[in-house]
Amino acid sequence: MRKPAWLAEVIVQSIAVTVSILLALWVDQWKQRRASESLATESMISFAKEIRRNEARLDDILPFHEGLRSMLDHEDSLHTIRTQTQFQSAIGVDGLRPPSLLQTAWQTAVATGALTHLDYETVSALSLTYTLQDRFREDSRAGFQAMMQASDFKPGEAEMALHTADNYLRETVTSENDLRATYEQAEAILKKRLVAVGAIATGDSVEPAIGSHAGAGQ
Amino acid sequence: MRSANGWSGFAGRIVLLVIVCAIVACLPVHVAHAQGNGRQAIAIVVNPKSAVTDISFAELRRIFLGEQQFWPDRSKITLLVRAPVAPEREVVLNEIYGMDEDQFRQYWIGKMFRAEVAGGPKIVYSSDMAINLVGVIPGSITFVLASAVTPNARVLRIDGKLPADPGYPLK
Repeated sequence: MRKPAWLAEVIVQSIAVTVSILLALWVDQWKQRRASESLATESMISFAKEIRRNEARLDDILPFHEGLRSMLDHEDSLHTIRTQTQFQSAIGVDGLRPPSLLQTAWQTAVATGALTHLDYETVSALSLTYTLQDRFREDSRAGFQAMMQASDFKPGEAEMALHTADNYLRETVTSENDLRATYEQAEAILKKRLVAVGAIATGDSVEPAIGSHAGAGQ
Repeated sequence: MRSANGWSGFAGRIVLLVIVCAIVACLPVHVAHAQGNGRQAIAIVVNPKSAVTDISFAELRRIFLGEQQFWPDRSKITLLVRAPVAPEREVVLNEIYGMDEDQFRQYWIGKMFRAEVAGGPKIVYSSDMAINLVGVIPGSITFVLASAVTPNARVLRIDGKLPADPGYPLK
């Protein structure tokens, strides 16, 4: 029994339509995957840049805070500070403020859902980094307020203010060093991922350090 | 009688004229001296371990503007600046930055916004604080009135000149 010609045509056309639909679906899926990968890469670059900038801000303030602490120890040992004016003139207050650290990349990634396109290890590292950064900011703010209150002392109570300032600076310097170490870890993870997706070469950095050595000796 | 009175009046006028002339002649000297006191030389002080002893005024300007952030030995430069209203700050703003307070603030905000610097200059509240801090922060640089320089402070020569030398640029 011979099959009618139209049946063969229907079968061929059905196969062609099905293949076309499957191909279209595959292309769409491929485009979506590309868009997700691109968003993930873009957000990882943005994280890496922000972490680098925060690291530079810590590098900028750390020597100053360490210097203030060393100076404070010296003044404390000499017992030269007795009045509020002497306290202000010797160590100031503005210089004791913690650095303002950026978290725009994190907020943007949360708002746009970019985190869902990143792998678990990267998101976990970033979450830890920004949580520690938040804690650092809250602790510093509380410590700074306590120090401000202590700096409003009466004559003869300078020792207490100096101890509060010393404690505050010691904790701030320790936290700044810890946070810096966390940034380095996060940066290493981001770099590994960016190298894996081919966004940067192994020896490259996402962004040159702020005020890099290029100007040295000029 | 009348001519004697006229003569003494004339002599009195001459004496008065001489006194006025003497005062006018002395005035510029006095004003210059007063200005000299108001604009003392500003010494540029660096960390004692710094290898730099002499820099050009152009290089100093680049450092203070945050355009050069590392010493030739690649150590980071920490710039310490006196808080507003200090006379030495005024001289530095005029002579090095060529800016007023508002422009100075805007300048550093702009640099931070463009991520050209990680932070602005660090504020110090007295010459003692500036000199003490510069002594303990490696790579730091500050400015104080030349009269406030202590024996242990390391003063930089600018274009080969110290604050006491004639032609020193920061006066």
